Amino acid sequence: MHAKDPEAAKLGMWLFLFTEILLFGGLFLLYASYLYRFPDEFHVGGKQLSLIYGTVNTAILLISSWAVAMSISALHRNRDSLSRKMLLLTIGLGLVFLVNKAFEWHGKIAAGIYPDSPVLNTKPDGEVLFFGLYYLMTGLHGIHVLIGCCLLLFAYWWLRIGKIHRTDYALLENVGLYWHLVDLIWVFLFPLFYLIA
Amino acid sequence: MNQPINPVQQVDFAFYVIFGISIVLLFGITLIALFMVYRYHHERHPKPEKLKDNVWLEVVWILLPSLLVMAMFYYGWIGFKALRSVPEGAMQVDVVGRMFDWSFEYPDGKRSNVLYVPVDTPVRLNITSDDVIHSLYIPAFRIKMDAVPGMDTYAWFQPTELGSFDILCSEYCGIQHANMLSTVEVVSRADFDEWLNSSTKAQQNAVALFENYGCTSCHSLDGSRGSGPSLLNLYGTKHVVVTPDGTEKTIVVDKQYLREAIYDPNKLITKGYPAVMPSYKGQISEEELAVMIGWMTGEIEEKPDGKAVMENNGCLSCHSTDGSIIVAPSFKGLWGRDVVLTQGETKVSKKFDAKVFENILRHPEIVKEGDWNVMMPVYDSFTPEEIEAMAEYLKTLAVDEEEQNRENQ
Amino acid sequence: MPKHDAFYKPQEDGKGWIRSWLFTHDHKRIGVLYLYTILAFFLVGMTLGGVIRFELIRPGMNLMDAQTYNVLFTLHGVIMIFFVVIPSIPATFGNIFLPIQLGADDVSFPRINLLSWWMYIFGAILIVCSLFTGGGPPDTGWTFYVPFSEVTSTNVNLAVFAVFILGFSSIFTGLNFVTTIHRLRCEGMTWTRLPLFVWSLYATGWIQILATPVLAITVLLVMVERFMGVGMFDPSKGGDPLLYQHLFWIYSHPAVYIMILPAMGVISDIIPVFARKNIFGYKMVAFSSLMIAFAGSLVWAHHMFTSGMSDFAVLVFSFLTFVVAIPSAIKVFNWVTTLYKGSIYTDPPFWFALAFIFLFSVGGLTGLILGSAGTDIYVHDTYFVVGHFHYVIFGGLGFGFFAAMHYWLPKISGRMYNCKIAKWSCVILFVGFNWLYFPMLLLGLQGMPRRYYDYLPEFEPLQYASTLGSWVLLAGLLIMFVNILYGTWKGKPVEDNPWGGETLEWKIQAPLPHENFEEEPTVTAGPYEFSDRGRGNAC
Ligand code: HEA
Ligand code: HEA
Ligand code: HEC
Ligand code: CUA
Ligand SMILES: [Cu+2]
Repeated sequence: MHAKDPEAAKLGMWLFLFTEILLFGGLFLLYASYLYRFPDEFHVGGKQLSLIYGTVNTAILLISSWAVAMSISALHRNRDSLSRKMLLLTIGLGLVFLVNKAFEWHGKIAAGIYPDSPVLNTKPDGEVLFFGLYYLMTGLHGIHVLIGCCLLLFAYWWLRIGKIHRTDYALLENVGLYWHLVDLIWVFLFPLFYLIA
Repeated sequence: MNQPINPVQQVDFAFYVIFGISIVLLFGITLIALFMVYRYHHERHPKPEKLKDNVWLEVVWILLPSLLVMAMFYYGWIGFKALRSVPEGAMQVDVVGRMFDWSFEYPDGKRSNVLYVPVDTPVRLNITSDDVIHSLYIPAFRIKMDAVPGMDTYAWFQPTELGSFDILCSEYCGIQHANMLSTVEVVSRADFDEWLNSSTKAQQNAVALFENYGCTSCHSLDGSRGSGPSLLNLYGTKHVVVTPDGTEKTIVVDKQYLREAIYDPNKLITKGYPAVMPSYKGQISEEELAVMIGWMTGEIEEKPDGKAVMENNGCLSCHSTDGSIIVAPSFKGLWGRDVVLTQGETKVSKKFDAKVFENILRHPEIVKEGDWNVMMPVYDSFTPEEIEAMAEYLKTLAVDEEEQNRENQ
Repeated sequence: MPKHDAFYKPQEDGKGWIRSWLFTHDHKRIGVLYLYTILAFFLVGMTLGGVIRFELIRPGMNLMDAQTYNVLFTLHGVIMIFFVVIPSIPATFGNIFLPIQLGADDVSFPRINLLSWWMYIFGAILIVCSLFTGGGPPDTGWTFYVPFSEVTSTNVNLAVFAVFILGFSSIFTGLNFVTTIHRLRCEGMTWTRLPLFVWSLYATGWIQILATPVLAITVLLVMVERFMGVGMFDPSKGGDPLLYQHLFWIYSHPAVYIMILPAMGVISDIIPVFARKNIFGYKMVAFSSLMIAFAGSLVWAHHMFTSGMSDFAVLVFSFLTFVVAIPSAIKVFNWVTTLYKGSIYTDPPFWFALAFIFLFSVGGLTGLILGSAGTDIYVHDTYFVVGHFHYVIFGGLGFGFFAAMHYWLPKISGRMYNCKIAKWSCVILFVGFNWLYFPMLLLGLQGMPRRYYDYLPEFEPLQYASTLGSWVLLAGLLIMFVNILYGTWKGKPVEDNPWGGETLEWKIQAPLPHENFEEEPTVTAGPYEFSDRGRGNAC
């Protein structure tokens, strides 16, 4: 008797995305209050991050967001295979993002900058907090990228087996929404960490 | 009337206002509800009446509580402001909370575990913590303020009567939270000054000797007169003494005289006192005598007493001295036994000695023995003398290995 | 009319018993699963509470040492708050009756509903594990304040992770309810015809969605700090322990309204039904739920008046705290006004509702002492606070829950408990309750701090009285639970609408059937428009 209710699915997804934003919201609050206390140290901290990595990763995520949107509109226009390809592209870009991130983290860790490291602990308080937040927030975001990639993979599978098709694509739309959220959060993280210098 | 209004009255007034309104409301609501249940019970009132919406009543139901709560808010705020407005010239006391005791430090550096304050004087407490969050609570003065590590908070009060009042810790801070107690001792100005000036530096060692040998039952250490002359500021004064054959002469009190006064008191009697002091020859050792004379001449900058230092710094609220476990290893038998320390990843077993001890005080995290429920705070403000004194004290608690073995068997 | 099979009877779809319960998508069955698991935890939490009282009967050590006591009140608080009262009414009676009151077949996302129960169970397993692993059960208090929670060697990690999981379970319930209320109202069910219970769940759902994620990230940070020492709250690295308290209470204050709003909804449903009269000021009552949800999100720092935050913050938060008291007052006034010129039937649910109003008022009014800055300094972290929250939580939510059980269990099971015993148990509970908790308020005024396993001798008489009271309460609880559970399983069958309610759940059969409605119902009148015929006697 259950009629499908794509509207409800979308409403539910929006509410869930809301909770995700609030999850990051706690960290943003921490960021804001420490930035207020240690503006100079945050400035110094920001200088030590690679603007190139940050910019490239921003571009990657923006393109990937465009790719999911393309995938959905391709499905609309009945071009299933394009839709699937676009999904694969999105996943690929997400993975490239993660690889970049891994390199970036690795660089920092190799330089001895990681939470509770001897090097970091000798730095001024503000910088300790800056890098602490950097790892926490980009880490949590990274986990979301990973989850997003998994969801996209599921969507790809469902497209192949026909669980998602032209008249029933609420799932794909929701996965797309999730991916946009991941992108959106990054768009906030990018200036907070890389452009603050 | 320069006397600031005492916050206690302001806070109490807020209590009366809120409780007063609340009790009236509670009884009103309860009685009206019960009355309606009786009056409109279906047996007495079988047909419910359809009432039209009553907008005016609804508005009243909104305005009434709004006005009442604003009144409560106002008086509460007045009380709070009084608690926060420290009068100028208040006496400053620095308060440090630690697991699990309080330390009060006065402007001249004197420290105590009990808060002595003179009556009728405003006192400002500057509060912080060494480890986790505690909260200084003195119900009698309606004050409570968290002691937060890395942060300075304050509270103030003005005692108006003599007496002893409880201090409690009201923020949960671990296993001994319920025992983190102390008192405020409100004393007269004179008593307070005297307390503050007495034994500013830890002089308990010589003092303990004077006490242990019963000297203080006749001699005061603070200049007051007893059945013998006071020992304070005795050195260097001119004295009239009587020899056993009755001749009087004037001497200057020097070391030699003091030594004789203790080992052979009847040789020279200070004029005006009876010859009742016993000889301590054979009882008081030469070293002890040196300490006592050193105290009287003021020559020996008194060595701190290890046990007192530990008491004052709260060590003994976690470590026992008798082998029992409070929340940390006992000090009994610690000296000389092997303790497991870490340096980075490596574990080493070391004999406990003064060096290890100093290291542990500064870096308690290097100790890796057993699972303790609390962390020892870092102590890095001890003077070398204090550390030495504590080490000396720990030495006295060492357990003879053979004795230990015998006990174990 | 032939009866359909009750929803708890096996269905002929070949699923085994276990699968048909543990993997059901039926909101009624999920509600029942929640009901039994929550009651089980309630029992555990109460036993811990009873043991706490036993330790406090005399000063000094009676039953246990300090560490055991610290563990006990932590577990008592964590279990009661996160396992009992936060899910409580929404997850049980909300799950069962929300869709029915809306005229829907189920919630919008039945599978997510089941998932949230499973997350609850997963959280429960984690908490149980935390007792036996690592450095022993957590000893931080349910608030997990840093830096203590970062330095204690007990197993805080698992406990906060369990809270994290439960947080998401609660988010999913809220999300489900909000969506269901938006999407699945039947024909004619306009917003102003929603039963007030639904309105309260709607407001609750929003709080769950908005506040819980902040808790989730906050407790997760405690865990991360313990593992990695990032230093977010560590003063030696520039962090600020007060920020933890802010983040914690940003959730946990709204959470107290997650607890009380559904109970208020239950009472708002019960009062009109037993007074046979439309509720006074329907719109104000419904709106005040939203107002509580909104204003309640802005007052968190009233738990921190002594923490050392700025005096200006104290001013603002004290003021806002008084503002949230207003909608609660409106509700109480409107409930009492509803009785005026009604035709009142004093059946057990109504008794519990009256007890609720009294106890909640005491709790709420003591909340005003806490909200006022000057007085809170004196009673903060004393037994006055302990008294306050037991009055609002147990007296409010607890009695609301009991009222809901007496109101709806006959409907769910189709069987009636013994009404006379139910009334007696209500009286004993009421007496025992005040006996147990009123002394705590007085103790707080005397200056007895909370979380003390040992206390100064001057507090003994009241502590002793309080412990005696707990035994009276225990007697009441035993009588009530035995009576109602016996009634549910073995009581005499009951008609479909024993109380003469007008909301949709009373229009279908008791016991509830598998399919809520044979065809989608149409609503033409408000939820509390009773005919003036009076009604039969259910008891
Ligand atoms: C169900 C849960 C619940 C509810 C509903 C409330 C409701 C309220 N609470 Fe309470 N509270 C808790 C649960 C709850 N609380 C818990 C668990 C804690 C302790 C946490 C911890 O530290 O462990 C706590 C602690 C707490 C504190 C912090 C105390 C401290 O630690 O120092 C404060 C301070 O402002 C406070 C205030 C209030 C207020 C003003 C209300 C108001 O919403 C009350 C409104 C109700 C009424 C006002 C009564 C009914 C109305 C009338 C009878 C009509 C007449 C009224 C007027 C004219 C105003 N509460
Ligand atoms: C739903 C919420 C809820 C409920 C229903 C209760 C119910 C009870 N609670 Fe409480 N309580 C909390 C939520 C709740 N509690 C919270 C959140 C805290 C704060 C924790 C913290 O500080 O972190 C707290 C703290 C708290 C304290 C303060 C501890 C302290 O600060 O040191 C006390 C002390 O008396 C207490 C007692 C009780 C009692 C006696 C009951 C009773 O009503 C329970 C009813 C049961 C009985 C009356 C007896 C049952 C007994 C048995 C079945 C076995 C008996 C065995 C022996 C006597 C050996 N609770
Ligand atoms: C809050 C409780 C607490 C206080 C206060 C405290 N300690 Fe400790 N101490 C501990 C604990 C717990 C240990 C066990 C090892 C660890 O975890 O650091 C310990 C270990 C030690 C050790 C090593 C013992 C061993 O068996 O290895 C010494 C020495 C010591 N403390 C001295 C002191 C001194 C001196 C003071 C006061 C100036 C003090 N402690 C104050 C809790 C405390
Ligand atoms: Cu210190 Cu509690
Ligand atoms: Cu609150």
